[in-house]
Amino acid sequence: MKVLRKAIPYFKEYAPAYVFAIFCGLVNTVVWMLIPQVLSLIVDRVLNPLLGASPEQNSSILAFLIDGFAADEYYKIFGVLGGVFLALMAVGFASFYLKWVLLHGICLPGDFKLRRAALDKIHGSGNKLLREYSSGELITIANSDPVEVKDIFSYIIPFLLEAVTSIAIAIVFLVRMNWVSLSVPVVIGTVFSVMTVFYMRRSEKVYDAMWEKRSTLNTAIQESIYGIRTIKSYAREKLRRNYFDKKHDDLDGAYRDAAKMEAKYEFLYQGVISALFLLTAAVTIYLGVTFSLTTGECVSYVSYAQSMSFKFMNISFLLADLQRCNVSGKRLFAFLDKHDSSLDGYGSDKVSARPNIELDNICVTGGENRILDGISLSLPYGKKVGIMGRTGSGKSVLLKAMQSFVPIDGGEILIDGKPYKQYEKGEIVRAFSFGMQDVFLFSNTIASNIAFYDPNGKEERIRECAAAAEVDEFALKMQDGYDTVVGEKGFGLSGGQKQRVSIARALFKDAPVLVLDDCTSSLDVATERKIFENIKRACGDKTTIIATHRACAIADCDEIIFLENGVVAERGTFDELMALNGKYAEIYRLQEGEVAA
Amino acid sequence: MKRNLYYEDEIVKNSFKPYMLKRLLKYCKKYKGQAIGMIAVGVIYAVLGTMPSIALMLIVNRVLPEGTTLPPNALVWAMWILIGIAVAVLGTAVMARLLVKLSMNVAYNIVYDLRCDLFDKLMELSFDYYDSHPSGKILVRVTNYTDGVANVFMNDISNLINNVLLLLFAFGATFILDWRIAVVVTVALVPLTVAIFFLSKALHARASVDKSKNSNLTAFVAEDINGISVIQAFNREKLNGEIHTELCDKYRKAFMRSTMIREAVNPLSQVCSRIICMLLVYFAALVIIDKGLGVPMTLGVVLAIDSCMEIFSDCIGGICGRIQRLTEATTNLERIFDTLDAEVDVKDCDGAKPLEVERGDVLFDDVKFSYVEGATVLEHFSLDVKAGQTIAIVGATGAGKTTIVNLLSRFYNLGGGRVCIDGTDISRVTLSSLRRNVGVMMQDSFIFGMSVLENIRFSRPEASDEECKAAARSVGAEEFILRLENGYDTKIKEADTLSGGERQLISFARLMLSDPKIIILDEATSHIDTETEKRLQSSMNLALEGRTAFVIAHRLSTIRGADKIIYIDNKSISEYGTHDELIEKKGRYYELINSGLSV
Repeated sequence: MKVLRKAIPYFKEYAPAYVFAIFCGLVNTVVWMLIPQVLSLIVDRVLNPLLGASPEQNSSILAFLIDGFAADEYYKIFGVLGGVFLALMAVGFASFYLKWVLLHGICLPGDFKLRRAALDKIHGSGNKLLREYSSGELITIANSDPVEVKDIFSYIIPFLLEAVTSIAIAIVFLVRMNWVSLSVPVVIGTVFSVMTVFYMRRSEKVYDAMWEKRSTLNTAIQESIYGIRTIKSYAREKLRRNYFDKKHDDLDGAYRDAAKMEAKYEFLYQGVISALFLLTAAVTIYLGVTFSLTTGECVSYVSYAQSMSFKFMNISFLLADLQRCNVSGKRLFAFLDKHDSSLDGYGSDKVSARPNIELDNICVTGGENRILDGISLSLPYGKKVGIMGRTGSGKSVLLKAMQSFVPIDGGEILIDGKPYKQYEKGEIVRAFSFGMQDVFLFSNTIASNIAFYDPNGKEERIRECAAAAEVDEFALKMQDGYDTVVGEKGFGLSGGQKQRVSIARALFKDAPVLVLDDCTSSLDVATERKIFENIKRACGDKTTIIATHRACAIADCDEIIFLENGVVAERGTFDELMALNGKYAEIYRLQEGEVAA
Repeated sequence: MKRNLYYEDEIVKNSFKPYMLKRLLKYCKKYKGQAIGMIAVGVIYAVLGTMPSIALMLIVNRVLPEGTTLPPNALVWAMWILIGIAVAVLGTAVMARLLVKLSMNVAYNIVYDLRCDLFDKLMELSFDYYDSHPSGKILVRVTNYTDGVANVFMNDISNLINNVLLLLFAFGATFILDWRIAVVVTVALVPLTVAIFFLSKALHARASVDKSKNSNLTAFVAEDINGISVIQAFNREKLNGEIHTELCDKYRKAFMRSTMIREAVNPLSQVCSRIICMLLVYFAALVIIDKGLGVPMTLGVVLAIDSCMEIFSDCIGGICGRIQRLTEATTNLERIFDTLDAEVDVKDCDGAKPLEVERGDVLFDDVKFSYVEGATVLEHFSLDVKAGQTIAIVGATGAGKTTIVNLLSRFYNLGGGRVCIDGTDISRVTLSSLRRNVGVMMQDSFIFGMSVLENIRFSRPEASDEECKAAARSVGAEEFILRLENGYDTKIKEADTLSGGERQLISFARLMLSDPKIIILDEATSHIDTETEKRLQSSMNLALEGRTAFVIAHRLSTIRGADKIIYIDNKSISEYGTHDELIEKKGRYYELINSGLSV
């Protein structure tokens, strides 16, 4: 099985302990299989004779234990058999307990390794791959699927082995009693094998649908949580509820389909088990009346035949469970094995502390559209570049492409004269401090959010960056200052406050290239100006790239480029662009005119 | 409300109390018929489950030879026994299917209702709840924990009933067969019962901790996935991986602590019950027969008791196992009810009436407000806005601009004073009618994972496609929408498919479509370029015409056209007037303009 093969490396660390746990499980199985051997001896050698019947020859494998006793030494015989019974119980308890504690203890690390692998894969994947999945699917893959794969090791394999062992032992005991008695297991085995094949085929489809619907519902709920402000502001709780109902109904339907399937097979299995009991009873009667078995053996025979039926049924259900785990495993490993071609070909070079970057005719496409079309930009270390353009003109994509977050479909990005793919991907990212347009803050303190790059960063450094981004202005007014905890996605802070924390976070990273993507849009110009002045002081020699809609914010940049539909429509210094009297100049005058007015 | 972080264990206000079970059973009430049917079928199934024992007893007593001779009518008995088994065979199978079907219906119906109630509650809860609970922790309560409750109804409750019934049956049969044995068994079971009680108690405490740790892990993973772009941009992959491992480790330790108890319950109950039901019973039989105490026993009786005891011990094992699972399920219930019982701060008051806005006058009357006790944001805030006026709100970051508009939509309750629309106190009207009349475009409007068209339609579900497209056109969004892969039908899979400006344009179209009487624009165009905004201005002016509007913006172009401008400072309005009046006044607004408020 593919999933099992792929999962083994994650679980093999404690292989010896795992084998021991399986051994404990088998010991436990043997113990329970030996109990009827003791009980049948008690019936045939103690109770029956006490009631006047003559002691019968019993085929129990433990009969040797009481061979030396006289037939009427009932208490002694009982003492020995009782002692064996208690000893078996003690071993049974210890092996059962040890098995489970060990299995959990051994398999949990494997489960966590898988979870970590999934998380690492998410961390290491590019935008393109991640967009194939909804967040609900990713949460299921990273959080739930590994648990299902763990179940294969923690209970399905051990139980299967135990079931097979107990069937084998039962067959041995049955053969010891009488060859005819073997007819029952042969029938049981054949019938259950056929049924299991059908069950497994059907269950895979059902569990696959369940997985998909569960992930969709997760996404729907998560969206409702994140979008609660929008939902409430339009009083569209009912509309959202209808959407939830739709997804919920889908999942409910999938659950019910699974339960119906289980009910159907439960019916079939129970029917077959009962029918087999009929067969067992008939064979027992036959063997009893023909004096082939003793009374005690008849009791054991029924017990073994029944237990065998249940074990076969267990095997079927375990194999169906295996299908469920397999579905999760397939999804998980399909994600882990997914090839992200955008990550191909990166080398291991390190980016220098003062990188010179060159964008040479780069193109980025999205579907049939060209988002960026032949952009060239020279960024020697220390250069200040401003980017303007209309909404959707490609500013953010350009900034992301130069940091390798968006793969380029043409042209070349050179760092210190070498193609960027010669560098280690993490190193490229490390070379940029990125202040994003969409501010995502984590549910943690303001200080922790600022020190996101290095949680062990010095307090002084945090305060320095916070001051530069004008976070001081509001954080110090808060009751807990920098220890104020913000909610997930920065709930509790205004748009402007979130942007300031985001800028402080970027400054804290202290990379050679600072990239700010429209991250002062919620700030007033005075604050923005102060922040830019602070940045200039703090990062004077660093390369700085600022994308903005405010023409004045980038007026003193060494070069300003104006994007239109993914191409550079204008470029030059502030004076050159004003002289050109194009788009930039028009917007600048428009905005300045407003101020002047 | 204190914010709960991913690494902090949740504090559940009420730990499990029996009333929670009662409350859960209330969910059964609606499905009384199915539940009764489930129990009835369970009884029949349990009775049929004793068939093997009865058959075995009859085979031993009536068919198998005693010594060397067959009992009288042995073969006739054998035939009847086989017929009886055949009838039971069919009955057992039918009952098994019925039982699973009924349990499934009861379980899924109850959990369906429970999940709907949870979702309704989530829709009802105030922002405060969302601010203070990580989304991952909320998510697991709606999905995983309810699944846990479904499992209880699917498997555990019917199994428990089945086991209890079988146990009573086996005990009754034993009592009839030989009351002395029944007494011995009962007395011997006392220590086991006590042990299980204490183990369950300890398990509940430990399972509660491991549930919290698991919830922390989910919260972390959910936030990590949602913040993936930041994680990648800040090279936090390794560190976040380490935090993940640390959380896993904490969960593992907590899980293993509960495992130590959880896994003791089953073997302990099985071993003890077998020692009691088999060894002790045989020993008692031996003593009774040997010493000739009271009524003599026959082998048939001993074997019948043995058979009953086998059922008895299985049932004890089963019951203990179910108790263990139910104990763990109670930790799910605690958390589900914790959410269902969470206080809703902002809700319709008794007798709330729908708001009917005829003119659109808005009055803030001596309003006082604070998010956190002791940190007042607004105090003695009064503002009288006439219908159709546009009010621009300016002030420093954190001065309370957004708070003012939040209060008008009644996202929070006031700490004092009142807010009226057309003379009606908004705390006396239904929230839904209020919010349909007050359209807000927030700083970060959310775009749902639906098509662009559906996202626009969100504000007015009954709107036609053409109306939605007209709204998009009116805000200049159509140009970029048509450039998307499938135009209006493009599904927004992840938020970053669109730029900030594009998202704002869709949100703006959504607002326009809703056609509210009162409009709030909170930094509505901050990510939109000047050219688009200029074009937007005319449609915006058209949209604001005849409506009362509140505008928070940093662009002077948006502010200066307002009928009145208020400057928020020191928890209240420090300046009020038109742009020209305030410029003339040379106060804080003037300073702000001079420092370059806009652009």
